[in-house]
Amino acid sequence: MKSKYLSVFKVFSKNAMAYRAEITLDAVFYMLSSLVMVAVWIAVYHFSNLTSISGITISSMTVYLFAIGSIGFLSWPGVANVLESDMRSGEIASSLIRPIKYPYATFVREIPENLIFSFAGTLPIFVIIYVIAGLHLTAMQVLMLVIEMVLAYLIINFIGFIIGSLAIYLTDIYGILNGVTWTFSLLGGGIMPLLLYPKIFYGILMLTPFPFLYYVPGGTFTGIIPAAQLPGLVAEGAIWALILLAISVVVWRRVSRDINAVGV
Amino acid sequence: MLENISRNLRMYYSSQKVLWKDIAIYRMQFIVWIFVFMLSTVASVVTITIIYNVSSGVAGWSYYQMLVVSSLANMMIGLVLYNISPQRLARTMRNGQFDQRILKPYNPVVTMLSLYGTKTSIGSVISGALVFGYAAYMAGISASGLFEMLFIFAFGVVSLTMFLLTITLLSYVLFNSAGYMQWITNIASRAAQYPLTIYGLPGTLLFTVGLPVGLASFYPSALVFGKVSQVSVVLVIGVEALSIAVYYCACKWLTKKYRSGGG
Repeated sequence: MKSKYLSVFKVFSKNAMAYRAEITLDAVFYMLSSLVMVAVWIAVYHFSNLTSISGITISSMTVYLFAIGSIGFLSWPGVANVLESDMRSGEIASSLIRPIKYPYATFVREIPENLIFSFAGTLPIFVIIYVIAGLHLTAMQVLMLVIEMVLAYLIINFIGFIIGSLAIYLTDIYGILNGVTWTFSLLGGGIMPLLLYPKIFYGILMLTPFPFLYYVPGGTFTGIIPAAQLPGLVAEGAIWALILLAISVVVWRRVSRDINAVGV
Repeated sequence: MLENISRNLRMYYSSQKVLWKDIAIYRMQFIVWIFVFMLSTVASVVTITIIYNVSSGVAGWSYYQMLVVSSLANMMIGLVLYNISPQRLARTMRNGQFDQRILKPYNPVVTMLSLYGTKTSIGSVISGALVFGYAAYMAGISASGLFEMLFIFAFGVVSLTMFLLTITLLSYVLFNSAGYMQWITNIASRAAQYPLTIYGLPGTLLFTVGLPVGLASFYPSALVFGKVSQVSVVLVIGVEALSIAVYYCACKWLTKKYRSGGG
């Protein structure tokens, strides 16, 4: 049983490995994009003559902006693309009759690319920033960071699965996916740490799943989020992942009844 | 010559009519994409508002002046993408469809700008214009200042459009791909949201001549708010006019060099 999913995983791992040069170039562009915001914030700190804004120093801000830039590798809900492409091409009809569960297979197909992009893109950048900025993370913070990254992956991809499932009704879901990624960036700390938002907005946003993609991992890495708050945040992230999983199951059960592949 | 220009403009207008009719069929998709493009303006306004809320902002630039720069950048990128989508153009070149288009008796540059844009980027233009109107009013820009601004802005947009078209063609000729043009557009759009002076002299030169995003957003604002002299702006307009001519010639040359993927 397990070997079927392992085989799918192996095949798609080989495919993902073909994009090594792309990963390197993407990493360069992510950093260049972050560099623009770093320049803006350096100008702001210098002109305002401030050493810290809402408790965030200029060096923490720089590290945060580069860190969330590298998280960009994980910010696209690739599972949605798998579903949309299968539904559009009619491939889903043959996938459903294979002796593997299609929803699991979509994740197994997507995970290799995300893993390789994380190991080849996000991880090296994190290590470089860690060394250059002279950060000191405890073993507990590193563990929490790893769990948060997994939760971020699950949250964005469960949302992707829900949107991807709707491709059967909407056909083209790229607009919605782009809207979702923009919303995560805006409301989840993809532009700046959420601590800078007005307190009431910060309080509300911390109750939503949005901060788990950027602010929580970025804040853990830079130390903006105190270590004592991390277990609570991880628990909240896990609850959001479970809620989104439950919604995904309900949506898939409803959608799978309406699948009527045409194929082009 | 005038007849030739008029014929090409008529083709551009007719193409837009057809493309908009095409969009009207998929209204829901269109609305979603308009909303997505508007989010970029929302993100800019949120960022600038928070910056000015928690600090004194950027040296020499008030909150509303900063919003003017940022909204012009959003309008600029919306207008550029309306006319040219690098990925779509490269895809059409690769599958051979572009060959059919350039065989028609129209200017190839106008043909590319007519057919391969992202029409939904009009969302960025609309939201940018709304923020610009409000910020320009609050910043106290006069009617003559507004006219000057929009004149330089128009030049800047044409210059950036021709630049993007040139590097897309160059990328296709060299690598048979335009995959990284999206990244260049993203970085350009982000950098243009703020006064170029924050990037230092190398950044100012880079975003004026290398990746000419400042021509449409920074310089018109800097002139009206008295941050640069009239002479500098005349020089910038000269650079813009020259760049447009150079990019146009480069595009025509690259079009001849291009080989389709065959279809």
